[in-house]
Amino acid sequence: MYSVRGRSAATGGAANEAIAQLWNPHATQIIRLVGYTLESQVAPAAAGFITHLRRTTARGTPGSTVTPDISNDSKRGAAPVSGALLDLAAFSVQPTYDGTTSWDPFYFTVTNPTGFVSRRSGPAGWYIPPGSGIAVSTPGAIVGNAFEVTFVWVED
Amino acid sequence: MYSVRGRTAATAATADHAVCALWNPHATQRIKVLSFALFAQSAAPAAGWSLRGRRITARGTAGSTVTPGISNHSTRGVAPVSGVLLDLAAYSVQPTLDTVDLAIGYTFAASQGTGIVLPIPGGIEIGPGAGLALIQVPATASVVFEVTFNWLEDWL
Repeated sequence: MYSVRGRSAATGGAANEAIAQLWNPHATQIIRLVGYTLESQVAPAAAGFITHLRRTTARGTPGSTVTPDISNDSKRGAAPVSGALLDLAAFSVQPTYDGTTSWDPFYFTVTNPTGFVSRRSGPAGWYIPPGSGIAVSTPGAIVGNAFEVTFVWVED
Repeated sequence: MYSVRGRTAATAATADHAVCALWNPHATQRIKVLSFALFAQSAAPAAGWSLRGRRITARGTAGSTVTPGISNHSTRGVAPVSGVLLDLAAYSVQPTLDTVDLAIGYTFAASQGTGIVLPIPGGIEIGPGAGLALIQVPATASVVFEVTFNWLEDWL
């Protein structure tokens, strides 16, 4: 099992901006996202700030990226063979979303800190095929703020 | 999940000789064996012929070896990171056995085609530079076996 964390910058206030994304750049390897967390570092700027998950088919251009290595393996066995990347806002080019579907919404309260842990149990989770990703994005045109982000996934 | 198969040669008539082993040559990566299967080929095992599982700390010299690749992955994602190997009898140098048997074993019926598919609840983890061998109990030569191991390279 792998985990990675990073801190996003604030999003700009347009609808469907990505806050963070787990991107799988491998040509053949499939990974499985089993959980993620999002914690705001300051009080959300406005009430009604919502996040949800969306699949992505092109990576876009993130504001920053974290590259996991062997230390991100729960057993310190090997660096993730997929080369999975944690992309963080603010994206200068947004990822390409896979249609309009989304899931796993969360409504943030206007307090600091506020956040959540979302985790799929057992063999469930969300497969991320080669050359695609899953992004946490905000559907509303509301200015976001910095988030502490963690993704947890398995490579096999 | 990964799977690999191979066919052994007959063992010598010596107790504790290895029929096959899954060897993890990696320096840091751990693997988890989920199940294995053995079926007698071409002849009936001797009456009362049985085997058991034993951890090994040195590989020995196998009669033949199967090297799994990307095709052995259930999603055809990537070849096993561990570089795990399926070693098969007859060994010219036996693997170095740990002293205690694992709680897995089976006594084969004396008929051609007899065999077992054995799931291992919770799995058996194999650390770096170690392996899991299936060894014969009696000082009786084995028949040829068709062998399969299933394992994980990363898990929750």
